[in-house]
Amino acid sequence: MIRAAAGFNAHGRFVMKHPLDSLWGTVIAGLILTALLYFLARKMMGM
Amino acid sequence: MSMDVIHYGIGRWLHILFGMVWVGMLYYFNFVQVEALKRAAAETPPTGAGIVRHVAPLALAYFRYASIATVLMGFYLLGDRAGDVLTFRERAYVPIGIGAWLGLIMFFNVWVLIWPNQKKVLGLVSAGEDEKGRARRVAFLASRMNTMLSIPMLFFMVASGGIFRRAMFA
Repeated sequence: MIRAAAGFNAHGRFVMKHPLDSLWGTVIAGLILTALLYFLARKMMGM
Repeated sequence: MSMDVIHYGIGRWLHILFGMVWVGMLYYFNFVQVEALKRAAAETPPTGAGIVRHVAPLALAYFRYASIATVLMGFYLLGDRAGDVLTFRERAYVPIGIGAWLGLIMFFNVWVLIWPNQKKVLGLVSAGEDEKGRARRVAFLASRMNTMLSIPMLFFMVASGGIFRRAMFA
């Protein structure tokens, strides 16, 4: 089931869902982190 | 049998074997158990007690002891170059250094954030309902963080040698 990442709670307060609450959010964050670290590693290696 | 066979052959094999148990259990918790417990809690009456009582403690035991074995075998493999790798002393150490740091952060999360809080959730140490709720949230987010970190960690472990390294960092 897909749920909204952000919305208003019962008290009318705007709340955002933590990205790690979603399994897909976790996997996508892991892939993005991999890409960022890959380019960082290349930079550190002078490539 | 030469020392290289024991050190780099059997040592690397055991490092990967223990790492598979560790990350395998991590993926079981995140991809299977969390969802299964959610579904069990939605039933009337809730049916997740068996998982919490019998499955989770056993899986957590393999999970945390495999993390120790993996890290120990990792340091055994690095040997006296561990300091140089963790400080990226040479260009060639960058991929494995990043992988090692990610693994060490995951190890920290297991023993400092996940396990102490899971003990409260599972009732192995006494905690009030509020404290249990907080512990459940911290353990969950630390476990999810480890799942996220495992993706680049595995990439850099694999990218640290052989044809994969030549392909990615040539």
